[in-house]
Amino acid sequence: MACSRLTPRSLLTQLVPLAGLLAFVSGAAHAFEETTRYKEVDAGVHIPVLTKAPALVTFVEAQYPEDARKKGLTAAVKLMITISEKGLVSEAVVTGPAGEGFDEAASAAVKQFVFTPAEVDFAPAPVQVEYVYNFVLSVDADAGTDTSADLSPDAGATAILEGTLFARGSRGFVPGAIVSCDNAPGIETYSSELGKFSITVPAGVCEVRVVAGDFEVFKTKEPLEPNETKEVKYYVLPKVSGYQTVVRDTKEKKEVVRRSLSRAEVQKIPGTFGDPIRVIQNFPGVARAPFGLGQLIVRGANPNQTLTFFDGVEIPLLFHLGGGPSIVNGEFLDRIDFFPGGFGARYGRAVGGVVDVESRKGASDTWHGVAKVDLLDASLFVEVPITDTISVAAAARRSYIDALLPLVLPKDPQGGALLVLPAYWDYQVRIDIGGKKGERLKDGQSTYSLFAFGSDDTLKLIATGGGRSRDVTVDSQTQFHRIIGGWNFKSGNTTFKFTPYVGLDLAKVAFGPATLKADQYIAGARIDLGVDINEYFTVRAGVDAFNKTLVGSAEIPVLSGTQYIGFPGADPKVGTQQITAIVNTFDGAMFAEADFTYGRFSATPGIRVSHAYINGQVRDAADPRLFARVKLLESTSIKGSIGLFTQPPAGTDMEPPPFGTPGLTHERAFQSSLGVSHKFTEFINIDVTGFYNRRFENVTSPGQTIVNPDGTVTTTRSANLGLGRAYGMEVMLRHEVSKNFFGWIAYTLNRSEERRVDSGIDYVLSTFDQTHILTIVASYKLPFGFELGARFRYVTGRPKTELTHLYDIYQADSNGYSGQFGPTRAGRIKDFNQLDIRLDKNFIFKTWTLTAYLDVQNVYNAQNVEASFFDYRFRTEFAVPGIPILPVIGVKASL
Amino acid sequence: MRTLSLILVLLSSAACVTGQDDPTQVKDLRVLGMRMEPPEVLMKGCNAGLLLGSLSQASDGGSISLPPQFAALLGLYASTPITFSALIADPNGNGRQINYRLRGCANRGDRDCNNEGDFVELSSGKTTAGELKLTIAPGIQFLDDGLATPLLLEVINQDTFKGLGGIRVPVVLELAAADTGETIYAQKLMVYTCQFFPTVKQNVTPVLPGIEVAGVDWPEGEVKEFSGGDEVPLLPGDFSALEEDYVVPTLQLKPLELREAWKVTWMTTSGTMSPYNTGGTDFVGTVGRQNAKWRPDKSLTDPQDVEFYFVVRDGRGGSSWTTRRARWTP
Repeated sequence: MACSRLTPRSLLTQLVPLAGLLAFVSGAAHAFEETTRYKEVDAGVHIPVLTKAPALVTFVEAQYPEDARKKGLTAAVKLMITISEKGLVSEAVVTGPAGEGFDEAASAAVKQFVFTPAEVDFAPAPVQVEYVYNFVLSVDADAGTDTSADLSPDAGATAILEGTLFARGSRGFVPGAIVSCDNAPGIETYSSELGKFSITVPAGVCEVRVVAGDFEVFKTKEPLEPNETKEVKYYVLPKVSGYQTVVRDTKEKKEVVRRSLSRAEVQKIPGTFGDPIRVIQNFPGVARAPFGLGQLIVRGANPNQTLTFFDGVEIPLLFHLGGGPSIVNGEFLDRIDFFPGGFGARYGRAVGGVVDVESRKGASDTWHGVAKVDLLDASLFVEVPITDTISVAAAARRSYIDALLPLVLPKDPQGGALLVLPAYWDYQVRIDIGGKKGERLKDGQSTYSLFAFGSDDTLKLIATGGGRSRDVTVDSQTQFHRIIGGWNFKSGNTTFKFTPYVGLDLAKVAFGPATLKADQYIAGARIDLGVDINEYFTVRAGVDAFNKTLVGSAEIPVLSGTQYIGFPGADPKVGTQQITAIVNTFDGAMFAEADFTYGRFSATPGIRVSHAYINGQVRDAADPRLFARVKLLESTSIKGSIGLFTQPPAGTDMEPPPFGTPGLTHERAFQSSLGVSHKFTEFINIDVTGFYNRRFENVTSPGQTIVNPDGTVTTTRSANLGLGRAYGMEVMLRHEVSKNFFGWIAYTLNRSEERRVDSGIDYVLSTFDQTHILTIVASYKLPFGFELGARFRYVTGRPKTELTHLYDIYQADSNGYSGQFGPTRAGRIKDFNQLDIRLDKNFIFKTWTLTAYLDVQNVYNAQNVEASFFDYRFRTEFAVPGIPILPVIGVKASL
Repeated sequence: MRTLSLILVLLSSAACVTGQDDPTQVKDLRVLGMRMEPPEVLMKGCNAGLLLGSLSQASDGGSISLPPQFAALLGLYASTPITFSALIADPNGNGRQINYRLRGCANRGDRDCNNEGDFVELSSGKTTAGELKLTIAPGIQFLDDGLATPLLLEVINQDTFKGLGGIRVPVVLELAAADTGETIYAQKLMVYTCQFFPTVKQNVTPVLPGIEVAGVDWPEGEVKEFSGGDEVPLLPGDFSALEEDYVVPTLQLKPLELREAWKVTWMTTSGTMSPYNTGGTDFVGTVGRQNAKWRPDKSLTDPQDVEFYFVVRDGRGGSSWTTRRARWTP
């Protein structure tokens, strides 16, 4: 059944998806690399992230073991040290012993170190870091060696050595490093936050030594003339230290299940091409989308019932060309929160799940950039600190598939013109004023931001002339822009966030002579207010409102089946009609929730009230929600939630008949969950959550047809007649990010069903129901800059309605056949299984890093089935195969 | 856009699957076309109010009380005799006997017309491959439902649009090969149309004015000689002047002027045709060209007698066909 040849008949349908496939594959090239992994994927409940690393402020020199000194021995002792939330070293464990008394000496000294407190989720927290104490034999000035002659030909003369320490390969600064001359004992200095240092030493040749915690020891020689001030730049090599270990303070969160991703994580999962949305598809509760496309099918909900927000503002598109790269450069992603259900009152207008993508501030140390060129597009990312408190980050990307594709396309086999021209671009610009990247908002401080981003997709397809019996021309464009402002303010226990935004969505599509155009103008704002009243009581409240005005027009034929009753067979020649519409939608919501904490028990009741004025009609909704958690043991918690959720109909869906249904109202859902989380060890934990969701008043198509007493007929496009229910269990067994390893096993046992109220038919399996969804992800850091990751998936096949051919049934008028089928969705396509592997290798140069990777999908070439179709008489079913083994190589340079 | 991509990917994958049956290849028992003559019965004096009124008056809780106006329509128009024809192909049947049954149904979704009490027998007998021709009057039949409900009335009753698009009576032909018992069904709609507006005219059966091979007329009865593996271009004679203008009611009972866009279906007993259908309009109203090609089966080494079937449809229920024969040598 595999594709064996390209026939002229299939050429057109081969070429267009080729572009889509290329775009899909190109997602691989949008990965972002970081040498240090500092955030981690959630293990079932939210795991806070390190927002500020500890910095060494007080260094204590270890006492050199006398025996070792006499023997002339040097050593490097590796320790794992635990730093308390106050910055003091509470524990130091030798993990790389050197013996000869070095271990005890290093441990004793390190325990006296003082650091600036690390912050987790912007709050001081204990952390664990690896530290290497280097013992180096200093030349004893009193020993009367001739080193002093090297140092100071002119006795008593001094020189100044000053400069900047850079992290080799990234242009990042190295703060807190000890800079000294080996031949000038007792003289040393620390580098500043910007990596700068200045040290006055005797003139002569300085044997420079730079020692920093996460860097290899740097040595060089600098000849210094008397009274000379010499400025240098040193590039210090970061240790290939594996994943940074972070001991996290447990912080209760109201959501029963909230899974978070950092930008670093999304790069490393094989088969996802670094795309955050596809990484989310590896979490429990998310069904596998056909063909690995980017749809999010969460707990049985339809893909359009899970919304995606960017900095709290809903975005209309996730991917270029439908399934290609994300519309936002991966460099701009800071964090992704995924709520498979039971989300807080801050979020609304969704009856499935919610994905909230957070952009990041630009760098505060120095400028950085990433340039990428691959087969499909080129992109550039730059982040620049303008002043101490102002930073700018910008990115742009443009594809050139439209220029390259004609070069590789074969000549039109029909002898006419054949062109497929997909193209896309996007941009992002963010300006931040006040506060540095990673810093927590201080009392009385305000920070401001302005984030603008946009995206454009075009697809032109021309297949005309030659031997064709029908010309095909498609010209489509989807473009959007958003400008999001931000004002954050803190006063005492109160935090305030104001997020105004404006947007413009432009969409047009032309199929031959028919055109559709829809421009939408958006203005909205969010206000988030939080008050920590006391340790027992926290209140959050806010406003979330927008107004959208859609101006649409269409030039289309009079529609058979919608405006008149067509006859099966040959559609007639019919005149075109001009349709215009202006649709206004206002949706304002207020929300409030409070955290009550008493001992081991916490609860968060909340409510979201919305008032919408959609296409001239008022729709109101009130969604109460409750979350509760009981901490049974220090390592075990039980949590549960219940709540109502609503999703308003689109304004265009409420147009007058026959193009809409004015009577549409909110889709609604009741969601509930109950779960337990347990931490086995510092790194291994499990989360088990059962859920039951019932959706009702779902919008389904077609609507209803009513014959009026005068004989006229009213048809509506859709109706709130859908019912759905989903129930099951999600398990997340996770090994958190440790020194060299992270991974998880996600398993979902799920059943999702649906029915239409007026069908007279009982519940049947929903289209995307998948009983068992097993995903195993693991990533291991190897020596020499290699990293190996693997992902295995097993998924029950999606439901299908079985073909039960008994005899041919021919429809003479339409010249087609009718199939005979068994009970609706009573069968299933073949179960899916696939192993993906990814190998990364970092090459670190002086000021930049080259990252190369090999991502192989479907390593053992499993013969999966994505869909099925039938022959023209519905006698035989044919399987549509999934992707075969697919290796992808990517390269990226960053500085 | 995402949906478009998904569809394109699906289509692409589907195109990769080989070994599918080709509808242009006629190789076993099939019905290739069905025709009613006349293709439509126009009922003057009939309107939407009458149709709806008939339904409400007919459902009196047990017995059918046919409104006089509707009874008059049945007598005047629905009893019109209809010549039913079916083009039956059975190239490998060697002239075997085929049993047939012809039924009229109330429910269009009853594809094999077997719902008890919901159909009427119109004809039955034995035939062979070729053209089956019968005279029927489906519009004047009564159901064996214990109430003797007029078939037309029940068709209206089960129609979502209550006859606004025409009273479309499904006529189902059942064919069963006498030797193997292989059974197939074919359904065609017989249309009884209310003359909602004076401009509404009865449909006329579309007839292809001829077939051209490489621009040269190919008269019926002439056996063409083809050879080699080259494609043979085929065209229907120019029928643009025969495509009728017609008027239908919109859902708001306003007249809507349309023009037929004939669609031609191309089939053969050897090799393949490309494409399967030509002409007609697509979903945005673009009219397709009438250019087809016959592709010989290059794997054959012996000369072949080739049957060609060309079926034309007008998109209103009108249909007819013409056939040609050729001799092909490799």
